[in-house]
Amino acid sequence: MRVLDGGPVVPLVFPAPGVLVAEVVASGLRGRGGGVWLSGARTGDVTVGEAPGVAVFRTPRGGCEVEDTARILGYLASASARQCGPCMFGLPAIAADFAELAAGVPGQALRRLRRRLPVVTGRGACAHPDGAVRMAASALDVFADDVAAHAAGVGCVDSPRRIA
Amino acid sequence: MTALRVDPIACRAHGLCAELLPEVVDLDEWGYPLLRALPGHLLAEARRAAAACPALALRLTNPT
Repeated sequence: MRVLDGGPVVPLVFPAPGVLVAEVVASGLRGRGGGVWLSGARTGDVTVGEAPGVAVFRTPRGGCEVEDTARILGYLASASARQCGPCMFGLPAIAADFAELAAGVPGQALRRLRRRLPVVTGRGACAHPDGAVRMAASALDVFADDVAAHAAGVGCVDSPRRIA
Repeated sequence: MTALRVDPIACRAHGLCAELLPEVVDLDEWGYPLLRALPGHLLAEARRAAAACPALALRLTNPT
């Protein structure tokens, strides 16, 4: 898979096993540090418009992408410059929601995510929260079945792993 | 058309804008403003709300 119009794809070191995070090196890209999840069924090229800033490419299965997303969100929340309230408070809240969802804690984490994700976008001085939210939203979209299973406390649907 | 803008860095979630201009300003769950379009008949109220912001984070912009 290639990224069009974005220059070379540079792998980044990232503390989430099983995930390749690639930075699209190009000027004028926003949301650095976010990226998007792409469906494994997806083939062909990806345009920068679809995956601005940083693209998170699915690697062969093995891990749980919902958990991976929760970890990435935790990292992005900790990387906030803490200058604007919606990012300073919103990203940790969203990261906590996703962690709760990934852990299969019974509750309203998914509902809170659907409410909180659109609220944070575009309300910081920089695009850091926008990128994090876009990444989280793409995970809810691409891994919809997994997400629903996690929300129901069942765990990963297409992985032998079951959460407690 | 005059619009209301918030400086996201300066804003400290005092919430006065939502008290003074509830027609245009909602607060998110953390107390930070969510702005709707500013109707022309609320211009004077919007000016007052901007002037009252303790952090001077609320501004009226007039794109030319």
